[in-house]
Amino acid sequence: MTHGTAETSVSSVATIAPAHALAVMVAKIGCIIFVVEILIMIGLYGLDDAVTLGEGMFDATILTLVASPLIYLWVARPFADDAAAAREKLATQLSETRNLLDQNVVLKDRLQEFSAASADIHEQTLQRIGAELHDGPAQALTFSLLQVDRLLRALERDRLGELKSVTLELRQVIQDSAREIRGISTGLALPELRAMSLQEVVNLAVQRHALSTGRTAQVKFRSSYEASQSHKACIYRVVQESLANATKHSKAERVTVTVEDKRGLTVTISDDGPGFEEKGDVNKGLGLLGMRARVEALRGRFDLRSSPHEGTAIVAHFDDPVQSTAGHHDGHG
Amino acid sequence: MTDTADTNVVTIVVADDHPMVRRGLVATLEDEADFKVIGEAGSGDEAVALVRQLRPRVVILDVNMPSSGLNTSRAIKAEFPQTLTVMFSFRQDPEIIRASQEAGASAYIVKGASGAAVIDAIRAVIEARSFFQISPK
Repeated sequence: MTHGTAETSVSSVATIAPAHALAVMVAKIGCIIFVVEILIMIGLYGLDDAVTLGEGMFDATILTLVASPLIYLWVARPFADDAAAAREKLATQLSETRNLLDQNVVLKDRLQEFSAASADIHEQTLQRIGAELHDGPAQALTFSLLQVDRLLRALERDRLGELKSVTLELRQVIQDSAREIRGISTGLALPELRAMSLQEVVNLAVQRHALSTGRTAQVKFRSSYEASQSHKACIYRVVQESLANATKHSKAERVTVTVEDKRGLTVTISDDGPGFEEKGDVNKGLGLLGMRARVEALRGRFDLRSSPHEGTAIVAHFDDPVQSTAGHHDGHG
Repeated sequence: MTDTADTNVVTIVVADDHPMVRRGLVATLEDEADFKVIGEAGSGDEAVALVRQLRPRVVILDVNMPSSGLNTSRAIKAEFPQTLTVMFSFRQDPEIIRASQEAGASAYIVKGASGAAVIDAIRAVIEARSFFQISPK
C-alpha cells in the first residue's frame, strides 16, 4: 500500500459524503412540501373542499410522497453504500499504514543496532591491528636492536667469533618480520574480486592463509551459484577470519571450507580442534561480531557451532547470493 | 640462595611473554661477565614463582604481559623488598613511569632501547640509583 492510495480514498469519501447529504436533504424537503401543501389546502378550503379542489394537486403530492423515499433509495443509498465501502477501505489502509510504521520502527532499531555493531567492529579491528603489530614486528625490532648492539660490542671487544652467529640470527628475525608485515598488510586489503568466480574467491582466501601461516585448508566446492560482488567480498572475509581463528585459537589439525547449495548458498568452515563452550559473550571475540554483521547485512544467516572436543564450525547461509544489497542481480545466476 | 653464592655476580630473572624479546635480553645480559640470567618467565605469575625459588637480585618485567608487570612488581616487592624490579615496555607516557615507581620499580626502560641502555639500567639499580628512561636511547 502507498500513501497515494490512502489519499485517493480520503478524497473519494470527501466527494461521496456531500452527495449523500444532498440526496437525503432533497427527499426530506419533498416530504415537508407535501405536509405543508396538505395543511394549506385544509386551512383554506376545509377538509372536504380541500380534497375536491386539490384533487390534481393531491395526486401530485401523493406522487411526491411515493417518490421521496424512492429518490432516497435510488439516489442517496448508493452514495451511502459507496461511502461505507470507502470508509472500510480507508480503515484497512490506515491499519496497513500503521503496520508499515511499526515495521519502520523495527527497521530503525535494527539500523541503530547495526550502527553500534559497526562501531564495535571498527574498534575491534583497530585493536587487532595494534595487537598484531605489537606482538609481531615491534617485538622483532626490539630483539633486532639488542642484537645490533651485541654486534657493535662484539666488534669493540674483538670477539669476532660471535659476529656470524648473531648476524645469522638477526637476518632470520628480519626475514620473519618482513613476512609477518606482508601478512598483516595483505590481510587488511581486500583483493580485487570482481573478475573472479566464487570458487576462485574461496580458493584465494585459502591460498593467502596458507602463504601467511603455512597452514593449509581443504576446499569442497559444490555450488552452482555465481554470487554477487557484495556476497563474494563477504564470503572472502568470513573464510579469511574463520581460517585465522582456526589457526590462532583452536590449534586444529584439519580445517575444511565447504561451499554447497542448500536452498541457497551455504559456506561452512569447520575444524577438528578442541572446540569450546558457547557462552553469551563469545560473539564479541574472535572477530565473530564482524562476520555476523557482514552476513546479516546481506540478509544472510550466521551461525557458530562449537562444543568441547567436537571442533568448531562457522556457517554463513544466503537464500539468494545473487541478489546484491541494492536489490538488483549483478551475478550470472 | 643463588645471589648469596657469589655476591659479585648479578643474578637476573627475565619476564616477558614474547620469547624473542627474552632471547635478545638474555643474550645481551649474558655478554656481561658479571651478569647471570638464572631464569626466564612468560608471565607475571611465573616470574613470582621463579623469584620465590631462585631469589634473584634483579627482575626485568614486561609491563604488558599476562598478570601485568606492574602487579608482578608489587607482589615481588611486597614479598622480597630487596629484589630490584626493572620495567621494560613500549609505553612512553608519564603515567606508566609514575605507575612503575608506585609499583616499587627501580628502573624503567623503553623497548627499542639499545642493549647498552639495558645494561646501564641494571648497573644503576644495583648501585642504588634509579633509572627511568622515557625515550629509547
